[in-house]
Amino acid sequence: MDGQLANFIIEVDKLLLAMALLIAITVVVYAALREASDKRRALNLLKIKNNLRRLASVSGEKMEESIPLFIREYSPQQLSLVAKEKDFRLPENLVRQIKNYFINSEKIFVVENTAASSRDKWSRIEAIITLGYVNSPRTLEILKSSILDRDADISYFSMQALGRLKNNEAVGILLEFLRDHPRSGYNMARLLETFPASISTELYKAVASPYSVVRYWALKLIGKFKAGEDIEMITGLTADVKSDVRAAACECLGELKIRETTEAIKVCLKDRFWFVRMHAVRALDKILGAEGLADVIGLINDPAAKVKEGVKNIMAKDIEKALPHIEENLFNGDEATRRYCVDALVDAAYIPIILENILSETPEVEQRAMRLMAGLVKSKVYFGLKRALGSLPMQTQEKIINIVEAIDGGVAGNLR
Amino acid sequence: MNLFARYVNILFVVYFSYFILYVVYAVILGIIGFYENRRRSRQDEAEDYTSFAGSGFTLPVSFIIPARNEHVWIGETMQAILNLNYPEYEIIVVDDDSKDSTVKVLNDLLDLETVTNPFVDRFNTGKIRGVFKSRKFSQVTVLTKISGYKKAGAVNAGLNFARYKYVCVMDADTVLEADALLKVMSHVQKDPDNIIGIGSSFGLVNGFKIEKGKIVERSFSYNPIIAYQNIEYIRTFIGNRIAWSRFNVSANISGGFGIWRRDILLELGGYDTAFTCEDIELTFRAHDYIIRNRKLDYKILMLPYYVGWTEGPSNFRSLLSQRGRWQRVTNETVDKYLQMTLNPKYKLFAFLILPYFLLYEVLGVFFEISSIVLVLVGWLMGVLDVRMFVAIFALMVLTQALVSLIAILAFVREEKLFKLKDIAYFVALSFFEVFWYRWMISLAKLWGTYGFLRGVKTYDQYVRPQNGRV
Repeated sequence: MDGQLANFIIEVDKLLLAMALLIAITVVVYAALREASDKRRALNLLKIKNNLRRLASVSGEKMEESIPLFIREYSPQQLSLVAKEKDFRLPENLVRQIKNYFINSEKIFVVENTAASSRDKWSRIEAIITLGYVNSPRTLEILKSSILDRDADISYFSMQALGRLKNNEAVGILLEFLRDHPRSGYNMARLLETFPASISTELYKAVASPYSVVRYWALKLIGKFKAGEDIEMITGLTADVKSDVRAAACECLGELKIRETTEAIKVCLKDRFWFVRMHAVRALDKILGAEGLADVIGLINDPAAKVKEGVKNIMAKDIEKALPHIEENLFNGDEATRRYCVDALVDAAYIPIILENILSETPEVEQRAMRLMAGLVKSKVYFGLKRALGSLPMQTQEKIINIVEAIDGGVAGNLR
Repeated sequence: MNLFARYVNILFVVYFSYFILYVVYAVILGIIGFYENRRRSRQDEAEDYTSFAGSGFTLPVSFIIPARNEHVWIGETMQAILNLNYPEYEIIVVDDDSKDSTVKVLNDLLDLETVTNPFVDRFNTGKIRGVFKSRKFSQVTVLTKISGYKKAGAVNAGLNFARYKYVCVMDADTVLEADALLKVMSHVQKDPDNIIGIGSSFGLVNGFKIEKGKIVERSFSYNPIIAYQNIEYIRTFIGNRIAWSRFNVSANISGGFGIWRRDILLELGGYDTAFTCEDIELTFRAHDYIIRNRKLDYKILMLPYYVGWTEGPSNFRSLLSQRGRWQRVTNETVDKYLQMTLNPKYKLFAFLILPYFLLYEVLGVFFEISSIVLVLVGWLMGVLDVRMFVAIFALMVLTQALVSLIAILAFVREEKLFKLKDIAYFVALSFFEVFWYRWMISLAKLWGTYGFLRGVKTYDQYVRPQNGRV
C-alpha cells in the first residue's frame, strides 16, 4: 500500500510541477510583455497628446482639415484616456470640434452599439464612458437604459457618464434613478454639483418630490448652488416629516443666508433629533452670527456634542453677552458643557481679559472676573492659564496666583 | 510493529487529507481572488478620481494614528497623509507615551500648540495628558496619553476626537500613496449605508527611497526575509482576503490601514484592549455584532489596491516577534468567537472563515510540526521509505509554490508595482519557501501559541534598526 500511495503522490507531484512551472513561466512572460506594452502605451499616449497640442496650435481651415484625419487615426477609447488626464487640457473650441466630427463619423455607431448591447461587460462600460464625453444623439437614450442595468458596474458608470452631459435631461434621469436607489445619493450629488446653476429649476421640482431621499439631496444641492428662487418651499421643509430633510432644509437656508427664514429655523432648535438641532444652530450662526445667541444659548446644555459646539461658536462671537450663561455652566454644567464654555472663552481670547479684570479697581468688573476665574479653576478644564500668565509682569503674575491660591491651592502650586 | 505501521499509515492519511483540504481551499480562493482582483482592477481603471478629488460631496475621513516610539517613521507617515489627494480629512495622532523623540518630530513638522478641545471620553482608555493642534495644518490634532492600554487604547482615545463618519486607523509606519484614500473611499461612497468596514492591500517599504512623505524610488529589497514577506502579503491579500471579500466574509481589516464607519465602532465599544492586537478581533466582533443584531445588509470589504507601504521586519528575531504576536491574537480571537463555527446563524462566515482559522491558522502549527515528527519517526521505524518521504516533501514544496504563483499571477496581471526582475525573483523564491522560510514562520507561530497558552498579552513592538530605516 505504501508503494501505491507513494506512486500516487509522485504522479500528483508531477502534475503539480507541470502546473507550477507553467504558471511560473506564464507569470514571467506576462510580466515581460506587460512591461513592454506599458512602455508602448505610454509612448502612444504621449504621441496622441503631442498631436492634440499640434492640432490646438493651428486654426481655422487647417484645423478643420486635420481633425477628420485625427479621428480616423485614433480610437474613441484612446481619446477617452487622454480626456481623463487631469493635467492635460485643450481649448474648448478644439474639444467641441473633435466631438462634432467624431459624432458624425462612422466610429460613433460602433461605440453606441457597444454601449447599448455588448456582451463584453468592460467593453460596454468603456463605450458608455466614451459616450459621456462625446454626447452623441443616441447617448441619452442609451444611458437612460443602461443606468437601470442589473449589473452594478454598468449602472454606476452610466451614472458617471450622465454626469458628464451636464444638461437638464440628464438631471431628470439622475434624480429619477436616485428615487429608486437611495444609496447613490453621495455620488449623485457629486456629479450634479458640477452642472451649471441653471439646473436649480429641476432641483426645485425635486424638492417637491414625494420621496424623501430626492428632497434631501435636492436641498443639499440647492444650498451648494445658493439658488434662492423659492425660499418659501425650502422654509416649509423645515417642518418635513423626515428628520434628515428637516436638517438639510436648515443647512440649505444657512447657505442662502436670508434673514426672513430664521423664524422657521428657530423652530428646529427644539427638534427631537440632535442633527436637526445642530444644523439649525449652524444655520443661525451663518445668518445671524452673534445676534442669534439669545435663541441658541439654552442649547449649550444639549446632550449632543455637536450642538454644543455650534452654540460655542456663536458664544465666542459675543462673549460678553454669553458670560452669565458661561458662569452658570462652569459651576453647574456637566463635564462636556464646562469644556465647551471654557473653549468659548479661549476662542474669544477672553482669558487675558479675565486676568486683567481680576485686578480691576471697578468692583463689578473685578467681582465678575473673580467668579469666572473661580469657575474656570473649579471646572478642572485646561484653559491655558500658565501660558496667559507668562505674558504678564512678574508682580501681576504673583497677584493673580495668590487669587488662584484662594480658590485652589493645588492649581496655584502648579503655576508657581 | 505492524500495529505501529498501521497507526502511522492512519495518521498519515489524516495528515494528507488535512493538507489536501488546505490546498483545495487555497487554490479555490486563489482562483476566486484572481477574478475578483480583475474586477476591482477594471473598476479602478474606469473610475474618474478627479471628480472625487474636487467634490464637496466626497465623504470626509478622520485618520487616527496611534504612535509609540515611532520617531523613525512618524514624520514620513504624516507628510504622506498631508500630501494626500483628497478634498477633506482630519488627522489625529495619538502619542502613547513614547520614550523616544516621536513628539519632537511631530512638533518640528506640525508646530503644535496646546488647546482646550472639548471631548467626552467614551472608552476609559488612559488619561489624555495633552491636546495639541498644529499651527501649520489646521486639520491635525495630536494627543498625548498615558500608556498601558496598547494600540487599541490609543485608537480609542483618538476616536473620542474623530469628527467624521468614516475613520481610517493606520500604523505610524505606513506611508500612504497620494491616491490611497480616493481609491478606497470611491468604493465606500457607492454604498455608504451598508459598507461599514473596508481595507486594502499594502506592501513593504524596506529598500524604498522616500523624501518628505513621497516615494521617489521603489526599489524592492532582495533580502529573502523581506522578499518572502512580500510574497506572503500578495498571497494573503490577493488570494485569501480578496476572495473572502467577494463573499462578504472578510476576516481582518488590517490595523495597518483600515477604514471603519465611526458609528459602528462606537456601537461596538471601540477596540478591545484585552487583546494582543486589535484589528482581527474587531473584524470578527463586527461580523458577530451585526449578524446577532440583524442591523443591516452590511458589507466589510477588502480591495486589492496597494494604498501604502509599511516597514517589515528584516531579520529573524524581529520576524519571530511579529509573527508570534500575530499568532497570539489569532488564537485569542478564534478562542473568543469559537461559538460562531458552523453556526448557521452566521452564514458563510461560520462555514468559510471559522473552520479555516481553527484548523489552519490555530491548529495548523501543530499539524505542521507533528507531521515532521511523524515522518521522521516513521522513517526511523522503517515504515516510511525515502521515496515516500521525498514524494511528500515535494508535494508540500509544489503546493506551496502553486498557491503563491496563482496569487502572483493575479497580482502581476493587475498591478504594475514590481519590475520584471522583482517578479522573476519572487517566482524563483516561491519554489524554496518550504525549505526554510515556512519553518521560520511555523516556529514563530509555535512561539506565539505558547505565549497564548501562557496568557501573554503584550504588544511586543518589533525592534527597528537603530540607525534608521532599512
